Amino acid sequence: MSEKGERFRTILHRVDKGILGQLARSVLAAVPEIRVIKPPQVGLVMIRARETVENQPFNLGEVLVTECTVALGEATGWGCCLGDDPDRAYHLAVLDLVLHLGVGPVERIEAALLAEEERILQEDVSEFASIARSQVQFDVLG
Amino acid sequence: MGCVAVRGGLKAIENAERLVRYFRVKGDSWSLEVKQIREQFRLAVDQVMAEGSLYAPLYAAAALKQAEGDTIEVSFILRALRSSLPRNHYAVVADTREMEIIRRISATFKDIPGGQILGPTRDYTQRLLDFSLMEEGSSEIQKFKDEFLTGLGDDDSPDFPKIVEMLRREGLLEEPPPKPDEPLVDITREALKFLAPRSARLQVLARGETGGMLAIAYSVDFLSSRIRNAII
Repeated sequence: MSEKGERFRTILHRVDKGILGQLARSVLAAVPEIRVIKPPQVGLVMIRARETVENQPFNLGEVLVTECTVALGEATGWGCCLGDDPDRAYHLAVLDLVLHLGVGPVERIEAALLAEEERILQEDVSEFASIARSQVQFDVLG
Repeated sequence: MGCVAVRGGLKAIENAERLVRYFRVKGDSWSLEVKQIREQFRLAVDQVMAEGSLYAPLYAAAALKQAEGDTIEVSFILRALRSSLPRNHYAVVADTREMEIIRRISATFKDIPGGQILGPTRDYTQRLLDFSLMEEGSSEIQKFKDEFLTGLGDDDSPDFPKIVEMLRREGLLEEPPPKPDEPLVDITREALKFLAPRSARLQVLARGETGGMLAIAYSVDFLSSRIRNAII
């Protein structure tokens, strides 16, 4: 996957649901030929982790996800999100398709996602800043 | 005395199910919102998701409501749900060094790289009951949140190297002998056989019941200190 594609996927994972819905609806209005191949359905993903003592992988546990596949002609778009959230999975599939094909209001979508990236980064910084306040400052005695 | 086969009891079972629902709602309070449980019973939700081996916070919160907070019952509900869903994918092996960290302490090393971060813990409180929670209002909550979120810094999260890697760099711990990844055992798909391979043991521990894990950890700690004392 291209670096740009990877970046957008990272943003799409956490994009605000309202903004995602707006973007997907604008795509569907511009490209009404997009059809659903696999409607949103819940399923599991097994998460694997690597422990750091013997560096061996193991099955950590499963995560509930919702998946959806849409298509335009021969091309397909796939959406997958955490939890039981059919709307989000469908909207993600729609955006995946058009970002990959470069059809529809792609520039507007990319601009909106980059603005979301800024919000997400800020959210992360604020969360860590609140946690960093509990960092211990040791005073050496004697 | 041998076993006696009997039939019947269906009516009693149905009534017991209705009864348990009645006991949950017989008071005159509002039905709990699942979102409230998800957000304000954060640690109970985390516990049952770990024990149920299924990350699904809203379902876990709903199950906590269903089981009236009986965490073992909730874990069974989540495990039953898990077994009814298709597993469509396996994730790429996660690198735990990239975890987002909200708490990081080391009793052994004061100056761990990245610092000691207590995080949201009750470890250093005196465990006194907070009577103000009897009447916690939304205006007080908002006031607290406004105060708390004022004047936050803008430090980006630093990297937190693993302690075990630091020990290895300083030659205090041996590098693990390089060996290819063993075939992964999945204890949800194959019966556990002993001696179980490492991947199976770690999976069992990851989804173990919290009290059971605590008991094992303390008994191991106790035994190892007995051995240490015997050696000294």
